[in-house]
Amino acid sequence: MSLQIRGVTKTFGGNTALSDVSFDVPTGQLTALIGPNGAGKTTMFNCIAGLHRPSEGTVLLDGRDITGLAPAKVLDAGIARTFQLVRSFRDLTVIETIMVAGHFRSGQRFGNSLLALPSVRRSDARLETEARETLRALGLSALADKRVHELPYGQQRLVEIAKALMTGARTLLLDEPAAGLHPDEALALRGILAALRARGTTILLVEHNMPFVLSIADRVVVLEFGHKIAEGTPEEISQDRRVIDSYLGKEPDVA
Amino acid sequence: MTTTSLRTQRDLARPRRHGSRRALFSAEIVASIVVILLPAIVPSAYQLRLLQDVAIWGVLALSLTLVLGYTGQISLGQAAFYAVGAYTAVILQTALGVPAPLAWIAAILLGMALAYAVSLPLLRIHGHFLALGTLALGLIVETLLVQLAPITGGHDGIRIPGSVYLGEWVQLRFPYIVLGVLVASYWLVRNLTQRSAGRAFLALRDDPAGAAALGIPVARYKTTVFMIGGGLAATAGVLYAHHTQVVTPETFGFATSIEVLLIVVIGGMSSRIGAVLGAAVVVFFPEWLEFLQEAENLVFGLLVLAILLFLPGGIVGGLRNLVRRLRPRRITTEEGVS
Amino acid sequence: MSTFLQLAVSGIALGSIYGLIALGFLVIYHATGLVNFAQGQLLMAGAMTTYLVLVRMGLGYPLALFGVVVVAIVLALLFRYGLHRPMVKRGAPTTNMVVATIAFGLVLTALVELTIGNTRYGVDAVIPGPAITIGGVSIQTQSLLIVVVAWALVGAVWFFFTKTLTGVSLRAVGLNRTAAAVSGVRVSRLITIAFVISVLVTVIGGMLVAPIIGAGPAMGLSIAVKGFAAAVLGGMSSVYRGMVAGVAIGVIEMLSSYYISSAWAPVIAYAILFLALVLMPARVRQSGVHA
Repeated sequence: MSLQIRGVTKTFGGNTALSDVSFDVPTGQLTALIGPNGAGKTTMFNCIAGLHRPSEGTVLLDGRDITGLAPAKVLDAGIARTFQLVRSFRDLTVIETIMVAGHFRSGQRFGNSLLALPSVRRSDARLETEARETLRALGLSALADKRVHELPYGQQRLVEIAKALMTGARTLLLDEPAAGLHPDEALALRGILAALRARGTTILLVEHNMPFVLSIADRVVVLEFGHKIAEGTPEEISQDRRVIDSYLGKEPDVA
Repeated sequence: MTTTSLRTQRDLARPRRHGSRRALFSAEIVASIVVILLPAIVPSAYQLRLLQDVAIWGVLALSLTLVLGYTGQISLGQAAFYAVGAYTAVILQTALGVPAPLAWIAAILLGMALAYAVSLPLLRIHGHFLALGTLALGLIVETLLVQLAPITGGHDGIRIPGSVYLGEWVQLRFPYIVLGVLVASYWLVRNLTQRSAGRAFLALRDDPAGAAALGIPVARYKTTVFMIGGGLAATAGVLYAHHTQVVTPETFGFATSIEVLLIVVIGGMSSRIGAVLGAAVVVFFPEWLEFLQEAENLVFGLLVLAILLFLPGGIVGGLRNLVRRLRPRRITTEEGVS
Repeated sequence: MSTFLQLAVSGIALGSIYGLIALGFLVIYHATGLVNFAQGQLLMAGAMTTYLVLVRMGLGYPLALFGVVVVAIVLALLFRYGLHRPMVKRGAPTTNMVVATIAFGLVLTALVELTIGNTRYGVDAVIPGPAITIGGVSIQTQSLLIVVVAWALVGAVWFFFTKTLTGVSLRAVGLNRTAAAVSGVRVSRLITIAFVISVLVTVIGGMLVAPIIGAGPAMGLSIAVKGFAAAVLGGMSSVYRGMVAGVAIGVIEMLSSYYISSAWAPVIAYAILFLALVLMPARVRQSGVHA
């Protein structure tokens, strides 16, 4: 699934967060959205994911207009997103949390749950199998029965990704997946993202960790103050004058 | 990382899970049968009455377990639906001559309708404010029960002698109905909460935005659960009306809404068994401890404060923690990319 | 016409008490995000203490005031350090806090019932004697006192929050706790101060209202609910608007009590609370406290 962002503008009151931003997120590739703080990266995410409605412009998924669709519909269309702040479900274990991500496509409703029909049991068994598989792919199997808030931060972020995967979405929006990770955790994350890409998943991520981005991204889109100032391969971007001036030339953020 | 180690992991997990699930299921079936047959075993009429009190509080508490424990909606107004159930059943039978089963169904449906109607505007408020809103609702209903005296009988209420409206045979066996309804309510809540739906409820309780991002229809679930909760409370009301054979406004005030709240806190907020356990505690402790009867509110208030501070999961939560600590650690194989 | 004015006057007095509750409610809410469901019982504690000192012990109002202040401080500290702080430390969710405040109120009521009694007791007014008559309207001295003291208290609290360093710091805590803590503000102590102010104001409200409606263990709930309604109606942030809203509720209550029926009057207040809550826009709940 590919995303086409066309002329997206978003204003909040008098404040223009995004201004005529257009770029492509090609199928099966990993695209990174970078830029200094306040550049509009998270706003862009929210516009794609349905939390905000763009003031102007369109968001297309495989050519289909999904601009302004509610988050639930965006999920139905096949796009899942993670959040920067880890939100955990207090009483659920890791595996139960992941299984929740599959609920909306599980076919379990009030009616068949109430009557405890066999389809519910089968659906739950399927969910559990898929969830365990997802955990295994991310190296989290040993943590299945722990509570999410008991885990170290890096693993909590991985659980976030597991949730997004479990929705069955073919397009992932990852909000700073490498933030706060140790170098070896970031390395593991790189491996996971590469494996996902190999499976044909389209990934758009927001990141501040430049070495990380440059090592994994197929394409990079650079925002500054709500404008797109560059788009291209990591090599092209790291040599782009404007980008260096605006972003790469600055003091690196403390990771 | 090999497929054999994967299979070992799954085998370690599955039989235990299936085993313990099957054991729990059997226990629930057995317990249900025992509970329904209790009226035959219980020696005194007085104890039988207490048992029914527990059952009725239990059904009422289950409504709050669903609404509060599972979807996190703080309702301080369950007594309103309790009242609607009781009074509707009574008024339909006494004033309009509607036969009992029809009156009961109508009462429960009305409770559900009112709950649904109220849940829609309440969607806009959360936490403390939701509590305030439901409190206001409960107080409104409580006042209406007294004010609409021509319909509700005012302070004196309405009598519904069982021999007249249910017939001697049914009224004598009413305890079986009460306990049967408790068991049915338990199974209703159990089925609704034990699989993906239950996990989805807990998710939307703890993080509505996160749950919505995973495609869970938060608003629809909240209103539907609130409606079912209203129905359960109304059911408890119907039981109460025929159990005591009279309905008066005092039973359906804020004090009752608080008592249900205390029951689920004592038993364990998101636990179905907790609802029944809490009800048992609240009914039986004053019986067993003579001196408590004077200071009932004081003791239960202090008990709840202690629980909130030291054992927030209530009795069931505490037991679960104990079990988790005593259970030997599972050895799971580490797999996957690392 | 004079009946109308008469009712309005009583409504203003009663409504000022609701405004005091709104004041206490807002102070705690903005400092801690907590809705104190025990506020009615705190008002009751003030009324019962007044009764105890005045009637049971036969001492005068100055000592009653002293007693009331002591009770307020004790209850505030008990609530803050025995309940609120431990629960915040444990990361207790909103639900648990709500239940905790309710349980606290329940315990308070039960204690009063067991130690003093279960009926409504009469309490003498501060200035005993006949009512003053102005233009055909008879105004009880207690009513005048209530209005004067209540508004004075609101003014004092407003002054505290806008003109004193402690008060401004407290507002900062309410608006952004982390930022306040980082800039050296002693958050915990300030929250305690907020609790003391809130309880004090509420308890004094109890003392003021006791001569008019009597003092009994069950008096707190309906007054508190109307006070909450006043706070919400007043937009959740302005202490003056809370007072005005309280007075409005009081006047409506008195008028409807006479012209419709004394039993329907509370329903109107409860309905106001429900509607105000449901119709209140979300951002109003977030704003800090101001005049």
